[in-house]
Amino acid sequence: MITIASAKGYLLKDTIALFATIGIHFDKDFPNSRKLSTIDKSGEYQLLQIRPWDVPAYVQNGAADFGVVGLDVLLEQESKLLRLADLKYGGCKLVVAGPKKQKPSSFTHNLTVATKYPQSTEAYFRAKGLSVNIIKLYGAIELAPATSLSDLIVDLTATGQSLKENKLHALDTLFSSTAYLVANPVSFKMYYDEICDLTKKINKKLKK
Amino acid sequence: MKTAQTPVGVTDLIPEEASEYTVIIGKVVTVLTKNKYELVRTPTIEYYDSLSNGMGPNLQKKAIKFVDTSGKVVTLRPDNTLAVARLVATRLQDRKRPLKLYYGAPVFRTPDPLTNQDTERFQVGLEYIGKDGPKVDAEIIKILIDSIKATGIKDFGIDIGHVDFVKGLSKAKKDALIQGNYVALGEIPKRGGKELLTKNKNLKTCLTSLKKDGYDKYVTINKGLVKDLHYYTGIIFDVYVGKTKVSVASGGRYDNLLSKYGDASPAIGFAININRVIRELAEQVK
Repeated sequence: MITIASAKGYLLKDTIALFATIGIHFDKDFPNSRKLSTIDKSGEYQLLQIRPWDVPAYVQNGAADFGVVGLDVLLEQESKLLRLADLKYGGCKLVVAGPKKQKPSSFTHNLTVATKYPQSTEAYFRAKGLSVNIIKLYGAIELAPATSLSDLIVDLTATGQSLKENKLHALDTLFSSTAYLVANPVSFKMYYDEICDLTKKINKKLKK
Repeated sequence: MKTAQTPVGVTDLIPEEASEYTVIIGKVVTVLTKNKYELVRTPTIEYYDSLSNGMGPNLQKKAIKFVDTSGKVVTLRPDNTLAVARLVATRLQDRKRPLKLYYGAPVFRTPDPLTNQDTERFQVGLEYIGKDGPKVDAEIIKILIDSIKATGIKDFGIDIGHVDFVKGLSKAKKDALIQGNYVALGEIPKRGGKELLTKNKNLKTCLTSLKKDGYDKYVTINKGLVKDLHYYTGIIFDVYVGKTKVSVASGGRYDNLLSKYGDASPAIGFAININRVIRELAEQVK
């Protein structure tokens, strides 16, 4: 049996829908259930729903053969998984945002930046030659500037709505992210024919 | 409180574990000595400058470095082949070729944050120096397969690639291959049998030789197999295992590495990661 670990939440619904279009049918109610794993109709595929940040660990350690996870997580964790397909859904951007409109070129040394993405944040500011103080948060990042916890934030945004509601302006984009199909490098070899077939079908569907 | 723990990715071995290591290492060493390979030892600490030439950017980053008392940068041996190459090109430069050497020694690298394993990994491996050609390549792969079988691992395969497979690719495509980013590469690399070897005559000869002795059932040609180590110049290979889903051994031909130390000899070798072999064996009996 092939095990696929998917980020739970909004990616999971799209993942189940995508797999259904290529003939792999998982229970549509799985995202709403409290179950953590489910098996498809054919009995050949198992689907896990886990936290997005845990998907690479599952796949890298071979607990799952394949994973569906945002590119943002892969880049932040510098994961060594094989990237097989860009699934195109779950689109969002990692942006620098702050309370006042300013150009990225006006960023200065020693700014305090709150983020869930310390690696990506560090890399971004290092590339600009700036040294910044990074505060790692686990949620409600948008609150940090209003409470003077930080000068700026680096956070994921899809529509920009949440930034707006917290009176923040997106100042620069670090990268755009979508959901990716990834593989454990050894599972990739063991299930090579299946995965080539699967990826081909997925890419064909996505092109339509 | 004083800490009584070991650092991330290293461990003690209690008697029963230590004896398991000794037994597994012994089984591999038996295969190597039967094939007339001789043991060498290199120091755990090396000048970083003496080894960094042959490292890829990833290994340069992962090598554990510090400054010695005279102010020179030293490194905990991050790779055995580099150290043996340095030794061969210096104290063994006048020895008759081919030289058949093996080692059993740990290498040290900063641990992978996703697995937190293998800061120290024990490797047993060999280097065959002074002769090239597909017959030699096949010979080394046979010894590798015999070694893996000797450990008791049942579920394994070996992927074979060649640096020629990526010749002519743009820098961006090569990087995509090294990163395993097949989206950026634009395709999933081909894997299969000798039908993939239209141009590479040497690899075909090597494969024929493996087939003649019944080793081909373990072997798959992989057009996307790449190594981050910069020293490979010809055939490269990688042994993967089915239970723990990791690579337990890898190697290849490195005809230009010795010349960095002033010795033009061709060479080929492999290293087996004993830590991973033992984890696979443990999973196998579950």
